[in-house]
Amino acid sequence: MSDRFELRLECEEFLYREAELLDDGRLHDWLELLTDDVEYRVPRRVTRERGSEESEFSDDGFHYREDIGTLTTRVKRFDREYAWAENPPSRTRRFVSNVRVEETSDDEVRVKSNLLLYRNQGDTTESDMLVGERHDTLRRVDGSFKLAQREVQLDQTILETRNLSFFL
Amino acid sequence: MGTERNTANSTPAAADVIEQVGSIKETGTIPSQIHNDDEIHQLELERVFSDTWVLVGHESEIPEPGDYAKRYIGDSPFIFVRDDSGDVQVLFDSCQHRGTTVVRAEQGNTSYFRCPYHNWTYDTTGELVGVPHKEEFFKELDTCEYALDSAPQVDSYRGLVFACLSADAPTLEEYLGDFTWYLDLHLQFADGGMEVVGEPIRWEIDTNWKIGADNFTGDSYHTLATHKSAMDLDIFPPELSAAGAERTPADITECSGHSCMLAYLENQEYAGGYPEDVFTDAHLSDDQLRLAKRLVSSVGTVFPNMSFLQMNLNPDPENREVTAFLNVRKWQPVGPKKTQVWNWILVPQGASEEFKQRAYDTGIGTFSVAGNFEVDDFAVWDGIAEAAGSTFGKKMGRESNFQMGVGDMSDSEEISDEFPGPGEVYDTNFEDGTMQTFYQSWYRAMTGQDIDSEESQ
Repeated sequence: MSDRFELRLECEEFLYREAELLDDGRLHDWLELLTDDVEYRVPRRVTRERGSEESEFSDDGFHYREDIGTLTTRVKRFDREYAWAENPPSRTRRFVSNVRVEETSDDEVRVKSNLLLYRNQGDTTESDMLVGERHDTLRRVDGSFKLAQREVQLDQTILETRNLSFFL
Repeated sequence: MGTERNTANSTPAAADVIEQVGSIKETGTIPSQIHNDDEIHQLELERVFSDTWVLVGHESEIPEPGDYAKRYIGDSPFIFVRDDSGDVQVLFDSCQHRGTTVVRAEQGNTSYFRCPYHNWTYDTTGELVGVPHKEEFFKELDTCEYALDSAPQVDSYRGLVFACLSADAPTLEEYLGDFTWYLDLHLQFADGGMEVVGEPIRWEIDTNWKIGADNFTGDSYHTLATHKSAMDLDIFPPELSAAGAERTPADITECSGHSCMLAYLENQEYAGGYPEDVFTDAHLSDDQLRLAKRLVSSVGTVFPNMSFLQMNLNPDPENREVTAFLNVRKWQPVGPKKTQVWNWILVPQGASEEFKQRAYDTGIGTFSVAGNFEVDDFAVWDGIAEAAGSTFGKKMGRESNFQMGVGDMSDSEEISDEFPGPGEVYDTNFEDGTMQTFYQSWYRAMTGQDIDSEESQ
């Protein structure tokens, strides 16, 4: 097996493991996968005309722009009985695919992947579907990967969900 | 064969339901049916959203000539555009030829709007400047008569642009009336005013538009329940919150048909949410500036569907500082049980970039689709519309209660004479008069009266 193939497998294993923690609601364990200087962003996508010079992904409008401190506060909040947005808890399933290793340096790997996130909650047949492309930076810390940067580029401008009470 | 069933017990007619709301000041209740009813929804579009002033956007969203954004008043599409001479226009997004919408993007910059159907082309003031093959097929067409329709009334207040779809309605100045005293606390305390950061965050919730609008007139009661988890984590510092002993509360009702709540630190010169150096005495009275500097929390609704919120919050209490921001909100009615939320974060134009970013992050981290506070509201509000639209709920005449703290319900007192601002003011944040004002305005708008009229029942 080539080094490149092995590297992709290693990235995939990390992303699948991470998705499992999020789907299982093991949010404190998920926090352990993040570096202390993690940057976690979900920019606002904007419908623009074809040929527009401006990016569809906003530079200054965001659904999430978080660091380890704000993410930790969010996770602690979900521990509470009165965090109604997740009581009853959402049932989420993350499908992570099309994993592409973009760039590597000594201790970091930039990797893109596709995300399809299904969410169902309460007694309803209705569900939310959030789809997008993740742009991640994974960093080797003590021999294993941690997530150092994530930008999720969603395929919706007007979100098809009543709330984002979960991570992408 | 058995007894006949009583079939008289049918769903109440919309007109009767609307009429009941007119008694809210006496009863303190409204029929819940108004929160999910097809006929009432349609009547709202024809009355409330056609006869009152509705928020379109903020001037800072379209700073340059040609900047435009697609916006909605009720269910009607409009183009919010700064024309080539720098004036703001609100144009009906419908080609004068066959009527399709001419704007394809959410926002951008353009020198003209070209209809995709037959390429009729309009300039940024809405004038028709291009008709393909005009000299061959449209020789007699007078292009001057085919400009895009402008909203019948357009005006702005401190950068917030509103439009009204009735030419006969009061002016914006008359419509906002005395309530500008409170808007100024949020829009005029800093040199250079306020500016929007980023694009408005938009998402859809399965509830009626009025639920958000009434909540934002000042439902401090729900903060202790719905938002208990955020309070427990000090995202809203407990000493500043509704349970805090240090803050001085005021509920503003009956203020030209609008209402709000606010709370401030009477014994501190400066509450600390905004950088102290952005405050100026240039645009506010002494009383207003004194209050603006001490504010820790304020929420209000400009009838019908613009709300605002300014709070001193902290999305990471262990590592960050308490930070203020201004949240401007539009509750766009999409259906009786569907609302599109438009969410803007505004910051003082003259503040440092570091502060602006911190204020923005605090804003979206607490009050937005992923906001630590607001995610819990959206989990609750769906249920109001669900029960309100149910057959049993309608037949039994299910009512929503807005009696808290009003009259003999509490020891709260009216302080309109002592309080420096206008309106009917109470010395508490735990009273539903702010919501009664909202539904009284709704009743008036639904029955063809000005929201500030005294003719109501």
